[in-house]
Amino acid sequence: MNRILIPKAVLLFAVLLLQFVGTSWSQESPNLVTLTGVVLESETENPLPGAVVLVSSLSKSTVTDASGKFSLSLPEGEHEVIVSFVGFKSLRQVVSTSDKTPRVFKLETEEFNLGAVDVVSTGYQQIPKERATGSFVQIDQELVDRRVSTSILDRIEDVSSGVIFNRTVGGADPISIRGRSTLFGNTQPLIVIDNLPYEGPLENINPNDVASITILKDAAAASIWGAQAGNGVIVITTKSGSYKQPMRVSVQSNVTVVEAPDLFYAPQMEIGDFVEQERRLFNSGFYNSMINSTARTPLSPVVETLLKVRNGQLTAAEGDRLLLQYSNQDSRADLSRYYYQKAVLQQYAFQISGGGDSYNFNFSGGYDRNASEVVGNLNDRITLNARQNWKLMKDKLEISTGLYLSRGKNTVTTSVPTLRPYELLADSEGNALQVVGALSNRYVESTAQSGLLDWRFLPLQEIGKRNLDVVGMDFRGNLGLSYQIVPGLKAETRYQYWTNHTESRSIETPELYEIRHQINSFTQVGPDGSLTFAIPRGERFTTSNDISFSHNLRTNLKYQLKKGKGEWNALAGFEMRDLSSRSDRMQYFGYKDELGLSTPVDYQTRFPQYFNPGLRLNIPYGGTHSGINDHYLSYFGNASYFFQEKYLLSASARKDMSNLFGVETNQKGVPLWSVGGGWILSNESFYKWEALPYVKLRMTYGFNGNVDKSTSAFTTIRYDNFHEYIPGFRYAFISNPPNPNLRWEKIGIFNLAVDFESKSGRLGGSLEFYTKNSQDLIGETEVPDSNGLYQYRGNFSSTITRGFDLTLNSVILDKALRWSTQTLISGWKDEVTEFEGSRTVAQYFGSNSSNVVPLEGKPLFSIYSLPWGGLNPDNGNPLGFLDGELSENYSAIISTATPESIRFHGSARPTVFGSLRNTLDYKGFSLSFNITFRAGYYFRRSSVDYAALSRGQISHADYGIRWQNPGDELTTQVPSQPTALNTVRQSFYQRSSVLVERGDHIRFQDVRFGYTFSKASNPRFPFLNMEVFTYLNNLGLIWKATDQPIDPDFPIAVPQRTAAIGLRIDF
Amino acid sequence: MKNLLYIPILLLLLGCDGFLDEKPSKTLDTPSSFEALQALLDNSSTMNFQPALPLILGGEYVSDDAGILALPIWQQNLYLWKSEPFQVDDLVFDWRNMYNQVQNANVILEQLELLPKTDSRWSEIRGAALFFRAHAYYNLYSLFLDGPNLESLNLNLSIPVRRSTQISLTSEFVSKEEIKSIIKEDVEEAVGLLPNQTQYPFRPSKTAAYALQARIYLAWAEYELALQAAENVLNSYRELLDYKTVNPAVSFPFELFNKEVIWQSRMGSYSFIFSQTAFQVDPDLYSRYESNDLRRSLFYVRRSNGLINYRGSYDGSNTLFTGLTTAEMLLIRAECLARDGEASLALVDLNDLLTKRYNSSFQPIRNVEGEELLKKILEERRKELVFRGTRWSDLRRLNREPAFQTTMKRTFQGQEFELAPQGRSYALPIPPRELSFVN
Repeated sequence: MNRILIPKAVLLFAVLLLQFVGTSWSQESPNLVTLTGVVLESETENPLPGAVVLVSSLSKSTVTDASGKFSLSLPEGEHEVIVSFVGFKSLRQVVSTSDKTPRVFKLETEEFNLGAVDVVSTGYQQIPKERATGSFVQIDQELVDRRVSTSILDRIEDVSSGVIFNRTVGGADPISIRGRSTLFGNTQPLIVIDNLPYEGPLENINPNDVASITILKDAAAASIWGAQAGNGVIVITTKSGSYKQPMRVSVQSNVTVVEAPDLFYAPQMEIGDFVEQERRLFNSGFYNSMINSTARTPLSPVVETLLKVRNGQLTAAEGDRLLLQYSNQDSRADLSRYYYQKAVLQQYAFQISGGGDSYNFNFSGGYDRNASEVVGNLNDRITLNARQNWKLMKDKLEISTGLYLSRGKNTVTTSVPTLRPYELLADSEGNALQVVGALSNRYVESTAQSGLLDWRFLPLQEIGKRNLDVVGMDFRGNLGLSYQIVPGLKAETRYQYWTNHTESRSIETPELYEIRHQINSFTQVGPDGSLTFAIPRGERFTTSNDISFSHNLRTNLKYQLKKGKGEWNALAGFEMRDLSSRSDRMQYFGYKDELGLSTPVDYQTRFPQYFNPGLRLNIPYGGTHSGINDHYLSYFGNASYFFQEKYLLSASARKDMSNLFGVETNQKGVPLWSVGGGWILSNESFYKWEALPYVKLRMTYGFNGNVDKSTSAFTTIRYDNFHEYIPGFRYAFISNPPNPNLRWEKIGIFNLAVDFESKSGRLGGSLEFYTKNSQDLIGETEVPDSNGLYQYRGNFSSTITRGFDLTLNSVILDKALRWSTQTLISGWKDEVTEFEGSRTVAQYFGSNSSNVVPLEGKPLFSIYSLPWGGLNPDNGNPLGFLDGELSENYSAIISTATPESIRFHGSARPTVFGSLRNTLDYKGFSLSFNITFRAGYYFRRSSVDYAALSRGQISHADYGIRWQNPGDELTTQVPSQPTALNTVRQSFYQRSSVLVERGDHIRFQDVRFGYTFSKASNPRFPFLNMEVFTYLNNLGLIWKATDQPIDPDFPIAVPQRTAAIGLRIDF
Repeated sequence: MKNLLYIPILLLLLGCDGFLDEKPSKTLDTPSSFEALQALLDNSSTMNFQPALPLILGGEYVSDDAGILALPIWQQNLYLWKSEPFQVDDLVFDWRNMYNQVQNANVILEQLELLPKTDSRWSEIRGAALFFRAHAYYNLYSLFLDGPNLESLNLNLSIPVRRSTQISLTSEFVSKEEIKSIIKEDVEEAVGLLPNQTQYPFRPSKTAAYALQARIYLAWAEYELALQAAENVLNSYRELLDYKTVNPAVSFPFELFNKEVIWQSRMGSYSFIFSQTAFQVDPDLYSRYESNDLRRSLFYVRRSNGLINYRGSYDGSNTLFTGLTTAEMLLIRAECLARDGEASLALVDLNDLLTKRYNSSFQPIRNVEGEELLKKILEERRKELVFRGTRWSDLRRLNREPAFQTTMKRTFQGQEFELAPQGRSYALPIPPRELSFVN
């Protein structure tokens, strides 16, 4: 663990300790009655330690101690108690608190039927958590439902140990499970839904249909998924009915309101300062070449005003008055006013489930409607699910089917324009104003009488005028057969067909500036001045169709044998997967939607552009077509042995093969394996510690893999038809240089863990330590230019990650008021152990939370800088060090830097993180809030960029506190504005240590408050249960290490606070 | 239930039969067919491309201060002939792209060895790949190796050579002699393999290979060999445009693929090329065109603001043409003949060209010889082959001869910058990124 962080970790432990101590402070409440009892094995009457005693209506539970005894405090009255233990039939019994005698519950062994509680799903098997050797995170129904969100992935954020959402990284690498284990290969965890991998967009999964989520973290848990498991596996199980279950109906609805975005969040320099900067640039002649450019380069309103003054079209006083006016305007205010709003997200769902002796079903449906934060944009989604199971042939054959249908629609009618910092959208009367578009306003004015379409850009007139619809239909059909051949031996086969069809249609009319600009640009002037239109006047219609489908087939045999004191479980089979997709896009001009007609255009001719006849362009051809075909074939097997209720052994092996391009078939596969062992220490006869009646140790080792299908051992080429000279002429380019040494990535994982639970379940949890040894990681390496390219992809690195995950569940109060907490703390330290590739020194400064620049001995994502020597008191120039001396020779400082001489700050991604979730229940009330923290990492903040300023672009608010006069160096670290453009000075400043900040922070993530009315507490209540709740999210930072006015995880835009209210009724 | 157990076995058999051999992406292929190799050669944006660095250095244009300021620093340095123009961060695309051409050519040559030589396409593709490789090395040679009288500075100039398609972190550097022999052999072999004509002017033909040979030998001052190569071109093809028939009223008077074009190629499009103020014709160069010279109006345009810009690209656009033309061949032959003392033959070529360049008032040149004739030919060469990047290699070649030495001057922010006839900057330093690798 990172040394710097120990104080913080200690602090958190102290908090936990207090909570633990707190349990002894709790007092018996007068209206509670203690129920005591013992759980026995019915045949032998032996006590059953570790059995779960659950009072479902109160969600209270406890675990029996070493002698099978338990005690529970319950309110007076009648309660249904469920007693369960792995390998035994659960027992349901109504008990009355008026009977004070200790209860005896006898459980009957149930062959091959695993308990209903604490079962983890690997996607292949349901394993009782007790008998698992691997590392799992389980998110049960209650936790899945805790958060309100449209996306399923949001439901695991901050509630799963060892899982972090990479907030500063974005789309390509959204989640890391126990750190990153690949450099540039696929970073997405494998998503498994109802036992089979899901390749479709996760937006199509309605979280309300999800019953539980299991996250597989180590080799023993995940190696059954082989080469796709390198980034971890997320197993989602949807709701299903159960046999002999009365019909249940449940409906729910919630509404979330999201604050409008804060455009003023990112620090920006004063607009008046920026206007002054433009004036300086104008006076220095910077804009002269643009003013008369044949490209009609657009210039800002300030520059146009200054030009008018210079040309005598305005007096100096009028010019100054206008500039002052610009200085007092702010485009962000207008954008907020006209484009942004509070987003409103609505969610409705229903579910019906039930079952008879040999049939059960679950039907559910949902509707989501999200009105976007941008005016006029909308998302909606309809989902329908049907899961059914049948038992036939004296229960020997079980057939299950699942049909899942989802339709999502994304409607965009408005896009937000990019404005100059002081441009306004409307005048004081609310009339739309012209803003600078793709060409200079002077030129646009000169064309007013030319018979062209209006070439002015008035964004306000375009609100709601876009017409883009993206409709995605997603369908999954599952068929499962399971046949009990002889007792203990089962054959199973599962098949899934998945298809997704996404169609996008965009009809853009000349009401949009973009379309008028394109039509005008391609307007041709004849010798007599007549106009012809190479792109016809009319609408532009762009359509794309993406169709994906996959077939998944898995067949396996399962074997279970209980003999004496040992129990065998084995599984072997094979899996095939065929995933194909194709995508076609086309663009039409002169489209008339009401007639369904478009006009052919000439893609071959290079047309002189109206605004610059020297520029000849082809009409952009909008047709593209692509397709992929992924084939996988895998063999797998695993076995486990559970002996004397104490000892566990497990092993698994898998071989994956795929149609990696340009590789011989025998090199397409990779064998992966794992072994594990467990020891339920508390079941040993010598174990006497009564305070901790359940202790289990487990250890696993094995390999997961990862594959990068974009790379090939052979030279590969790609075709294109955007030929330099002949439009549509086919040519090819090399997409992958030869690499005969290409190998699959391999990740060796060692996991050591202890699970424990105190007497009466007051404190429980697990502590896990792991190392991940990633070998042959595929990455880009920089290569000398003389290879004809700058970068090259291959197996260049190895990394090692060492980490821990701590999960602590505690019940602080267990009376009428029940107070429980879950504390998650995870930490890891990763290090590049080997890097055979190559990097230029300059690139280490580019390393950040999303950009890997490997250096041996350092984390994959690191922050490096050049040592900062303060500001020169004479001129405010930044100072660095050259040969140990203060220096302003920036190019020498940068060019003589070596990986050894630059400063390493630390990891760019959190190395310790976690959450503390408190849940308080009182009668029907429930309050839950989550506080999260991230620590042990650094980020490079932005500051004023004088190079951007010298190009006439607005920059950071630090400009306002820059060095201006001698003496300022005592109060500021922001360099003076250089008199002439000096890119090396700027690049030194941006890479210097003064801009590196610590990212550590504590965040108040969310609060959920609910009240449940139930028939159990009020027999006259018309429904079984009804919950009303409110949920507040993104509540803000409690503490951060940096003084900068930004959220370390959200440097550009802070996540808006949201408030939701909801209702759920079970009939 | 036996049947159920057969299913896996059945599927295993299916699995072996091509299931893992299918192509993962529609547009992906291996370069293992003649069609694929031809498609790689047809990648004109990569292959028919020449660096713009010679243009920046060659002194044919001037920029105002604002235009210079708008350039990236390394381009400013080049424009002002500073001695260490590149920083380690600078990505000098012109350098990389030449090696990209070499790499593509090497891949094609390597893959071709696996295909049957009996196929008629075999020699055509090999010839084209050799042509492109020679062309790429020649462009590198013209920027980074050699220079007027640089031998005396003992610089030991060398550049990387690529002998295999394998990616390598350490480059093999070789001297100019070795690069010259590669160029020589490649183009020699290409001549023997290429067909007399090709379907498109961006595909090299035998004539194009001879023309490239002529250009290269002239740059190396091997005038006899240059003469022979130019002869070989002109014996098979010598079409000229008559500029009297070219319409000056349109924005760009010359058409892409016009009949003078033996091989089509473009110069890298740096943004200054599209600026009126940053890309003004050098006033001295412009003043050399006489009033009856049609090139004065066809090559240049005088803007309403008084600026004079080049517009005579054989690309028919703002993009600069760098390919090979019959006019260049006539000028090469004329110069070589003049140097060989064949004044009258040289004059035939020169007059053939100039009658097509001047208006009808043109009087053929007579009775000049010796150095005066050579001067006349070089003057016409300078006026004809403008803005094609060839001026830079002409300067490097001619500055060795005291009679033809040129000192170039440019000003920026009131300061004058100079490049002496045998200045160090005639051979550029290798971009530092090439040498900066940590491992």
